[in-house]
Amino acid sequence: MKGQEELLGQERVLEVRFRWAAGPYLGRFLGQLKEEGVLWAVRCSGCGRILMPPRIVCAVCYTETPMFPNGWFPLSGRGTLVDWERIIYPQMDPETGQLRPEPYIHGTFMLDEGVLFTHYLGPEDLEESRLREGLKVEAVIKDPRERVGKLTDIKYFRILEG
Amino acid sequence: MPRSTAIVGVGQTFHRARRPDVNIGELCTESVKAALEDARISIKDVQAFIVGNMELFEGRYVQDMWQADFIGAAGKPGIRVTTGGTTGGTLACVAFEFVASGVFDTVMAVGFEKQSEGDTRAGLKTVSDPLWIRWLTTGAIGYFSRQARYYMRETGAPEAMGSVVRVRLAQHARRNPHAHLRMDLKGVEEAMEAPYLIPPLRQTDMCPASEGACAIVVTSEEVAKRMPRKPVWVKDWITVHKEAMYIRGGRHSVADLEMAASKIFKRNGISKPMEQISVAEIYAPSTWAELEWLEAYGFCQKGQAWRLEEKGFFYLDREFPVNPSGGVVCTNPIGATGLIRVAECALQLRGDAGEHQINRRPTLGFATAWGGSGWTVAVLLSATKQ
Amino acid sequence: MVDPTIQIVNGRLYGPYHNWYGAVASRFFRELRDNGLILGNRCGSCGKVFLPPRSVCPGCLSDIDEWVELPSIGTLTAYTVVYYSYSDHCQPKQPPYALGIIRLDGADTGLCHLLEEVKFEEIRIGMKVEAVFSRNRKGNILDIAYFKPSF
Repeated sequence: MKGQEELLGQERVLEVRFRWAAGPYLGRFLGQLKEEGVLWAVRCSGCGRILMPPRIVCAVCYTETPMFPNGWFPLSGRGTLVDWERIIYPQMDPETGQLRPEPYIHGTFMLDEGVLFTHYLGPEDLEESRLREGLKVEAVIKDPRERVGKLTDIKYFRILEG
Repeated sequence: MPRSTAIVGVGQTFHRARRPDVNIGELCTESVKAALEDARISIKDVQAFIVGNMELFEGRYVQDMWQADFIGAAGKPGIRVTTGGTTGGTLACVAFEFVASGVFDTVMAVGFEKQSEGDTRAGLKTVSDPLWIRWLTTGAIGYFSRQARYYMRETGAPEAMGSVVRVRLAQHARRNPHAHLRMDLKGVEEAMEAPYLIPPLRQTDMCPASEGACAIVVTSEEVAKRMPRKPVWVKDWITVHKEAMYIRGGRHSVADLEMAASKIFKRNGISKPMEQISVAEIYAPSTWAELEWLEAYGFCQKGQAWRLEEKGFFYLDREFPVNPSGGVVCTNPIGATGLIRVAECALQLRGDAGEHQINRRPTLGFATAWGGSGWTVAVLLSATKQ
Repeated sequence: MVDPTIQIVNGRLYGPYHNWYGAVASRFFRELRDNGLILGNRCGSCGKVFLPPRSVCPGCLSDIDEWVELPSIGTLTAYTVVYYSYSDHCQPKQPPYALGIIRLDGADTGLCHLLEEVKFEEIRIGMKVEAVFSRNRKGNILDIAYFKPSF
């Protein structure tokens, strides 16, 4: 009878290590971010779309992207706030299994060059009353010694006062 | 020229948050047996199997191999389908194609998920590219919170609308014995007491993580005509992929939904979807998504869905029934959910949905599945062959 | 500047899991843990005895209701010796170690488990083996510590 009997299970951890090849486009993008602290984008020569990050082909017109630096341009890191959400409950980082401290804010920014980008809005939890669409923001980049070639080399975007 | 295909049997488990009494295989066995009983056939009659889920949730891969013993597939042909959120819908499409192609006459599609066994949020994050955005993703909840804000901003819908949708779905689910969450929500105020997940999305706006399985039996016209039950005819199906949302850089888009619906409607002569389609079982993981996506599919103009919802238009006994089963917001075993939409549509068209049967005379049904973020599967089912 | 292109990005996936055994396998593990008993079950339709026990017969999908207590002695039907050492969490012990498929007397299916107390070169297909139970049993397959030659 199923009633009172103890139902057992097996606990385990799946831990897998990866070594992803970034490829010449994303690899260059991440490398430039690490060395210079600058984000680069490329304009598709077929349809004029901006590809950020640069990719081997444009998803819409399938035109092949030239290698750096042809057609590539650096971004200023400045833009305006489009949307945001306040993360108010714990998130597990799938890389480490650790819980990230909350609350924190994700922002969607329209960078001045015409590219949408998502990153943290910081440095600390900002009050909802301070936030509105159109606020000017700017990327805050880590020191060169701390940069490793990941998007987290950008610490967060901060609101430019005034 | 593809052959006509029909759904002659459906089965599902009684979806729950946790099913410690069965392991992954045994869960599927329940749905397979239910489908065989519904179709009144034996496992020996099934020639091929299509099985699928979203493997990260159980941490066990190659599910076609592990499930074979439990679903009666050992020694028979078949394939595995793992298309994330759309898995259930894709399972149905592949089953249709197996039969429409003429290669098989009777096949079974089985979709399942044993979601309490893994961490749902962590699992969903692995959908995102590790080199670009995985560090940032908050899984489905982040995406749907943003979607809710977007819809409210674009259409002027008040925050209470999410709860209005939830009350409808809860009332539908209470009439569906298979649904997972069958809350007795008395009204919008009660739904709005639920805490926020990520504002403005509340706990009551978002789907649960459910454990469940669903199976359907698909046959050729010839086999269907010999079946004791009334077959449900498969009129058409479509799958659409658009550029992954994470690369679009956060701009909200429903392009995949719009494209899927407009193409499938156009090629089936559907110009007035709310009139010509009798019931919609749409895949919407949140209440706000249900509103926006009804518009994206073309059932109503942009900004109109919430106004119709306010009038109770989408209740199962009203003008255009949407998710009479309670929808994804009440039941979401991810690998099965898309298939449950097809199965529930089929039940409606057969007149067999019991207490959650729609009032309208069911002629055409529309079932969808969606995957985050950027792909849609849509299926059109018909009560008559033509 | 020197081309700063990053070739390889290291990463990791970390996921905790808790898989349910289900009622049938739970009974198997409870008996193993609490009583040191090995249980199989028999399909009423085709008569096959399954170890580990299962809820339905894979051949005919009929429910299986009849439980069978099995002896801890059986026959080795296949084996391999693992020398290769690979990443964390994946191996039951440090190589080299032997794994075998053991058909316990009365069962129609084989059980995969460790073979110990035997030199690798002395392992023979067809040899009789018996289960050695762990002193500290927790409700998993290593409640049987390993199989050893039976004389």
